[in-house]
Amino acid sequence: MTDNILLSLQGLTKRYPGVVANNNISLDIFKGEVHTLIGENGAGKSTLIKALSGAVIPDEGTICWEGKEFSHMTPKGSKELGIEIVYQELCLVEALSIAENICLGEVDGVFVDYKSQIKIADNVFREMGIKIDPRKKVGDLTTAKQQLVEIAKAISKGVKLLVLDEPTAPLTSEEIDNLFLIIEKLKKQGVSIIYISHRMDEVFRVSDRITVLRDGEVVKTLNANEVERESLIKLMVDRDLKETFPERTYQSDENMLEIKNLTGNSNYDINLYVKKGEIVGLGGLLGAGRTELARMIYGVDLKKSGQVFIEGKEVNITSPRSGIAHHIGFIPEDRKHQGVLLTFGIDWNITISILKKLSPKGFMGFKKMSNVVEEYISKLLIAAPAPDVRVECLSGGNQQKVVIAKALTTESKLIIFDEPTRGIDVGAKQEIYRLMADLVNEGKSILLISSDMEELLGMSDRIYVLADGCIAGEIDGKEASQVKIMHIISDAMEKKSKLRKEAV
Amino acid sequence: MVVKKIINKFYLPIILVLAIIFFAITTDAFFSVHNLTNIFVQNSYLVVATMGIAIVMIAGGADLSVSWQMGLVSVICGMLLQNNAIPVPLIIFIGILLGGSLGLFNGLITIKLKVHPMVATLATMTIFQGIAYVLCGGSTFFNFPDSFKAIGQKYLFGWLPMSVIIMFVMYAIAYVILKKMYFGRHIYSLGGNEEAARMAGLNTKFIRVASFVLSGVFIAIAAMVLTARTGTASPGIASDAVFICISACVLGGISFNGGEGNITNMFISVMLLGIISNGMQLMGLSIYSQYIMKGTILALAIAFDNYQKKSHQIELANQAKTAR
Repeated sequence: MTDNILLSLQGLTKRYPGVVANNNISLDIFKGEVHTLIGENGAGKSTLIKALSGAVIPDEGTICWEGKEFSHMTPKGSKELGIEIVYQELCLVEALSIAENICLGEVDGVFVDYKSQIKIADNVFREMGIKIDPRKKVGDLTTAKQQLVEIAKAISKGVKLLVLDEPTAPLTSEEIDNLFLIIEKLKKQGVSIIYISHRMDEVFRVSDRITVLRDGEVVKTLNANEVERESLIKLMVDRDLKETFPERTYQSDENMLEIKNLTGNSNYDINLYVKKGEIVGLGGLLGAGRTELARMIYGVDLKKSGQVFIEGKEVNITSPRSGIAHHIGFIPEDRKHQGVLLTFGIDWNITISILKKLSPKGFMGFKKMSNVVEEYISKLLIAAPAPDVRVECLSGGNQQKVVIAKALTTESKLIIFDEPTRGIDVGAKQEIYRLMADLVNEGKSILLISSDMEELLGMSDRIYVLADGCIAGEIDGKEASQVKIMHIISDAMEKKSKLRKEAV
Repeated sequence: MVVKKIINKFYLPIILVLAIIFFAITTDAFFSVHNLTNIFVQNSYLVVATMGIAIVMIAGGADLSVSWQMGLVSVICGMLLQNNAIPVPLIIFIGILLGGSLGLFNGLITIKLKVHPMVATLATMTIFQGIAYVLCGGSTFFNFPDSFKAIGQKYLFGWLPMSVIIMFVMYAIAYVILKKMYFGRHIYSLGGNEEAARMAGLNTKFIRVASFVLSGVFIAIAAMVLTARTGTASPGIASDAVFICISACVLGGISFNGGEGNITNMFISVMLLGIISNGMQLMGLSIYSQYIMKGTILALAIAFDNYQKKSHQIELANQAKTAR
């Protein structure tokens, strides 16, 4: 059995002042297995990965690689051993071609040998069974393709242990299938994979073994086929918690939002409505135009034609400012770039939209401001040592709560949640679901965009399915299923290709 | 730990005091009322201009055109001052208006061409320079009425220079705008993350332009103080102001990405650079060795600032983790 062990961590411990990020972690990775690390944010996954990459030097413990013991890794040494990590934030040079990215760091002589670079890239892609032109610029690729380039880069370096940190977060289900095929292939070639994900369905699909981390410690390592999701979640959070979706009571026949024939840069002839107290989901593949639609409603991007009605009155929204004035709130998917000001305190982030209102005659109303901040921190249970702590120091879940608080300060009646729980741990997810339920119970309305099928199906009263910028279908939340949604999408695709053929 | 905190927070005033002590010991002339007053007077216009640049930089912009904005204001005021029929207060008012307009121009170029302010002001810098030279036709203006020269040369009660009063007033105005008014917070927010600020409902274009207009007003006042003090008006009157102002902003902890910066630290930075110039001059060192010294201090300050930010962040992160 020991021959089969690629990597063995023994008693790995890493302490930071005030917190033990990794506590006595022992873990074996077999050759050619997919080993999933699962745990809430802050469970110690990142620190563990960083110890493997050499970015973190453990205080105690050893890293045993193919029988050789190390007290710690170095960034260079870890690569030489064959450890490659694909982070959530991809590290590619967008201005360079795919081939150049794959061969980046391999300097041979003074001049760039484009031909051999392309050859290397072609070979790797063939191995992976995908078709991409290596001459293309990385910046022109979709996120999914960029991720494949990262993986290709790792393979070309002779990877033995590939770490994938939440690789599916930006992917559509089709792209996920594709990724899993590649993982399968790598496994057969004897490559070990450490897989990190919050998505339960995937974890079970892809894993051979699962290690649950909690508060920096290994709770248990299990064979994937011997465990059920409920018990896994229980192990993760150590409390009875399933991904349940809270009950809701409010019902109304009045429309909060109605859209007629709305056309924009990426959307065509959209018709939809959202009632008061309703959560309406927008389903569809990545690039179907869901975020673009939301941005248009909120006023980030401008519409070309069509009408938007809020509470029955036609409105003309030309900027986020006017969107807010018409009581629309937006929780953007790109939290770090669009949702928060990372280097600013929680207090300023929550109140940024209403500073003017808090400041009669132009002078800051600091007292009023701190009242508002206190109110939302306690209302949304934002965990922070002080209200002026920089938002970048908060966990993803707490950051998201800050964004939601900001949208609530403007008395929003329609709140658009774009991927509200992406990269957020199970516990915080539940809190955000409960919060959404509370909002609609108060008579507010929610437009929910989510690539997490379970979330979309569980939260929505109705779902509009988008494909290619158009609404391809509408399903009642109770009847909706992943299969039905996929059917609508593929029907729409078929229709479109037929139309195209007819046009030809 | 406490000592470290004090040093972290007050490193600029500490360096300032050390510099004063150093020059007081090494030179005879430095530590006299006359010389110290002189330092204030000589740097007052730079403080005012730096406050203006700081507003633009905190908003995430940059202004390379400051020297030639000052030159242009100086030349136009100088020309107007040749005509005795125009009352001096009106000329000052026109000067301020002109500064605001030049800022407006910078701001509009930035938002209309959708370029980084650094690029926009690189273009306008050249334009302002050209206009200033065309207007003055190569000549320098002087013979200003005393009432104008007063803003740069007059001493109230015989000891309190007018220009220093203007400097403190402008500093106070900048402080109030940035720290006590919501508009200042909008400026910080724009610099912190323009995209997020827009998404939060801020009128980012307006704020960008307004930051330039405000800055233009400060720069115009600086230009007039300088013109009045030297008694001459010419395009190149403040040609090295841009380096000093931006250096002072950087020394004062402003980030080129915007979103942060403490106006008091920038004030201190200008004074520090001024004291170093003055002290080294008194030590008999050439202006070129002063450059070496200033550059070195700047580099060290940036390094220290980076180090400090990092340790501060780690501390905060730990606080947050313990809280969770």
